[in-house]
Parts: sequence; C-alpha cells; structure tokens
Amino acid sequence: MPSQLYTLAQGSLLAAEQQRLTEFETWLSDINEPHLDSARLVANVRDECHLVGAGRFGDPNELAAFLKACGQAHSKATSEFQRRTGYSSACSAFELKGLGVEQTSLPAGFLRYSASKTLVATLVERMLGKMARRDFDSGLMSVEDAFNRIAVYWSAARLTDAEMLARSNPVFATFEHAGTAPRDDARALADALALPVLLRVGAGEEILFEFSYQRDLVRDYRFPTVADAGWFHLFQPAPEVPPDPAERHTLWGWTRPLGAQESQPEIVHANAPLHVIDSAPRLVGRLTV
Amino acid sequence: MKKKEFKLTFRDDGTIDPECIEQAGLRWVKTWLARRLSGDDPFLPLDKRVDEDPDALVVGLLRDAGLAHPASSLVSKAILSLLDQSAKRAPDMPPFFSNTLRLCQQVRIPDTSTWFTGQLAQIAKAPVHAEKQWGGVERTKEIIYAAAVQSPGLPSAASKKTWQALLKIPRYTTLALAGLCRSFEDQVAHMKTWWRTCPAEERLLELNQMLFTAIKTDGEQTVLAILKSSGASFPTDLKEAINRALRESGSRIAFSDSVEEKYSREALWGAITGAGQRAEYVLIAA
Repeated sequence: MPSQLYTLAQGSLLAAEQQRLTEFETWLSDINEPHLDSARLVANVRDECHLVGAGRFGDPNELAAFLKACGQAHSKATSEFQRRTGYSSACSAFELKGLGVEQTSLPAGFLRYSASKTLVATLVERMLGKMARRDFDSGLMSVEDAFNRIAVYWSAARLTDAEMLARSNPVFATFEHAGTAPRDDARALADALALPVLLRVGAGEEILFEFSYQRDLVRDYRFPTVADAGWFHLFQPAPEVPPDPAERHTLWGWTRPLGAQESQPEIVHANAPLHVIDSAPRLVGRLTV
Repeated sequence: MKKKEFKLTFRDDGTIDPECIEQAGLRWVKTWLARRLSGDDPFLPLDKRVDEDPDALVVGLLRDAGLAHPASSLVSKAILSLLDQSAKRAPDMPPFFSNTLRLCQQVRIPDTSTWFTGQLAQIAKAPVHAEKQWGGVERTKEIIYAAAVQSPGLPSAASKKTWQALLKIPRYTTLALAGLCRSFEDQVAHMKTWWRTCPAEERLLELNQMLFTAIKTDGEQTVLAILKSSGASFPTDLKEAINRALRESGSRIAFSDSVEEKYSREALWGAITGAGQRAEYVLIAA
C-alpha cells in the first residue's frame, strides 16, 4: 500500500504527468541487476511520506514535484544511460528536503560512518605528512597503523576547510540510542546501518570508520528520504506517523537492518567542514578480509 | 533496427565481469569513467551514505583483472584520454580530474607513464608556471603523488633526472624522495639533500614516518645497519633528529657516539665546574 502522501502527490499530477510517472516506475522496477533490488526501489518511492520540503507533515506538494521530475527526466531520455542519469538528477535536486527534525529532540552527539580511503589518505597527510600518505596509498602502511598513528598525532588545527564530513550533500548520520549497535564489529555495524557497501562489486579491501561530532556544530537536520538515498534500495523511508515528542521513535528515520541486527536511528544534515569532529576518527574494522 | 544498448554483466559472486568491459569498447568506457570519476555512476551507483570513493571500484577492477587483461588496457586508454582532456582545460578542471588522479595514485595505469613524465618535467623546469597552469600548488602536488606511481625515478627511467631536480624544490622535496626511492637504502642515499631542502616545520614529521615504515618493513637491525654505514657523513642535526625519532619509536639509536652524547657530557662537566667542583672527582665519586 502506498503512503497517503504518495497517493495525494500522485493524485495531484496532471494525466500526462501521471502517465510519465507510471512509465518511469515500470522502467525502474524492470531493472534486473544483482546489486539492485529495483522492486524495492519503487516500493520505497511509494512508501515515502517525509519528502515535504519546507511544508508540514502530510503536505504532498514537494513529493508531487519530485515524482513529476522523475517522470519528466524519464520521458526525455533516449538511452538507458540517460534514463538512469535522469533519476540520479531528480534525486539530487530533491536532496535534503525531508521533514525538518527539531534540534532539541536530537541527542547532543552524532556519529557518522565512512568507507572513504581518500578521506583517510587526506587525514594521514594532514597528521603524519606526505611520506605517510604515499606509504598508506601504496599499502606500505596498514590501515590499522594509519588510524593508530593519526590518533597519536591528532590535531584538529591541521585540518583545512577543504576537508568535509562528506563528499557532497546530504550527510547521513546516526547516534547513540536506547537500543544497541555493534560499534566494534564492522560487518555487523554495516548490517545494522544497512550499508550497501557490502554489496559492492569488484571493489578491493573495504573499511569502515567512525567520526563523532557535536549536533550543534552542523545544521539542517532532516528525515532522510528516497531522494537522499538515491539508488539505494536498502534505505527505508520512515513510517507514516507524524512526529510526536512523546514517541521518540517517530522523531527521525530508522535503518532497515540486514540479518539479525537492530535498526539504527538515521538522519541527514547539511555538509560541514571536517574540523567539527571532536577527536581522531576511529577505525571500526575491515568489511572484507 | 534499434541498436542494442550495452549493459554491465556480473559474475556469480556478484563482481563485475571484466570481459564485459572489453566488449563495451573504448567510447563507452570513457563515458562511464568520466561519469563515475565525477561522482555519479548511473550503472553502479556510488554509496553516498558512507562516501564510497568513485575510484575504488576501478582500482579493484584493475587489480582483479590484472594489467595484461584487455579490459585493463581499455581502462588505461580511457584514463589517459581523461588526463589529456584535463590538461587541455587546465586551469579549469573537469569534475573527474581529482578522482582520476586519485586512481593513478593507487594502481599502475601503463598508458599514463609518458603523460606523467611530461608533466613532471614541466613542474621541475618551471614550478611556478606549472602551478599557475594547473590552478595551484595543491593540485600540482596531487599530480606529483600520481607521478610517483606511474613514472617513478628508477635508475634507468627517463624521469630520474626530473625527480632529482624536484628534490631541490622545498615544497616538493618529500614527494621527490617518494618518487625516487624504492627502499629505505635509497632514501638514505638522498637524505642529506632532502634534509637541507625540506621546510623545517615538515622535516621531523617526515623523518619520523620514514623511520617508522623502514623499521616496520625492514626491521630495526637492518635500518640501524643502513644508517650506520651510509649516514656517517650526515650533518649533526640530522643525526640527532634520527636518534630522537628512533628513540620515540622505541628503537635503539643509530649514532651511539653522536655529538648528542658528547654535548650532554660537556654540559654535565660545565654544570659541575660552574658549581665550583672538580668534575673528575665528582664523576668518579658518582
């Protein structure tokens, strides 16, 4: 069953726009690739209920604009490449447009998980020097040594404004909560956070590391939406329940965990310089052996 | 008849089948790589939630297939084409340039060796001009990082002299040492020049790292033997810095009869005689 918001948004489209949306959804659900559950992607779009932009909970205008953009991009495309690019572009245009999350309802500290070795290489250069970066890139310095030495030599003052929390908007973050999270087991944590990094194809050695930072040093906290998640079918739109301070689980999104792991809180916020982090990043572990 | 569109194919374990890259042809691979390295891959979407590196998949693919595979050759040609496009557009940079360099910093791309040798020569000949052309020191530095992998200064390499010239430019001297040297023994051979050239605020950090890696890879005994046999003519401050770095890493020092010890002995004698005592008696009594 689609969300009420989706039903309202879809119903507000003109007949031609509805037709284009149907064609887009049919195409999307027909993509058959091992790393992509396309039926789930379509289901997520139909379950979306927090893509409201500046509107209040239940306002369908922003979602209608998103659905229109998806259909339009699809109808203009003349190749598979363009059809896929069209969906990516529609998602990018609607990033960070989930329902706003009240700052005071969020805990004071955020956690973010990254798999970017480019970011590690940059941190290695900033804290340990150029030769260290060369050693890290060439494999002469192990990931474990890199993180140990970064912690020893850590000085946030050596970071520049060029280093950011994420490569682009939005930044996905989580935080400590009443439930549990396997924070010292990379694979289990990736499952709990439903990180599709485990499904990457042909990639080399994957790692997962953690940043911690203060909520108040970043801004624009929002529910994550299908537009923020883009192509990731493992994303789960938050249930269609209006945020209620008495029901804390309604105040933000939750991951769709893999295996037996517990779901984790999930929000997005605007990107910020990396120097908001309050200590050296922590290596959670390797995702591949 | 409508032309059949190319599709990536996957092996049973879910990894990309390099054969399909080979069948895709250079044009498709170039378009795909330009898009992916720009941070948006419509075929194998990048995981934004954990900031997946756009280059990581390609690095994995090249390592998996091996350099001899026709797919690797195709990727290599496409990368060269992206580098050429970037050079033509410099100092404006296409969105794929930084990740293309990042790729070249991690894995050998055979076709790019000549490109990097050429860039390196221009940087060594007229660094300020090259920096202006590439849009700044940071970007130029990234090119040199990649050149250290694609065009290292091996004894027989065309780039060796260029690396030696870069060794004398303070802001690039450490990168030049990385490009010139394959071993700690090589580093020690160039260490005097590097130490003289490297900006004072960077020297200790870099030296520390060199010794850390050398001890990890070659072992303490080998490192000390190399330093003792080849470092005898090092200036005093370099010897002292090496000893200090070794001590900090929990290792034995290399220059046991160093001036450091002589200085501390002299300082002790000075303190004793300054206090009106006869140093030889105090020290014997002690």
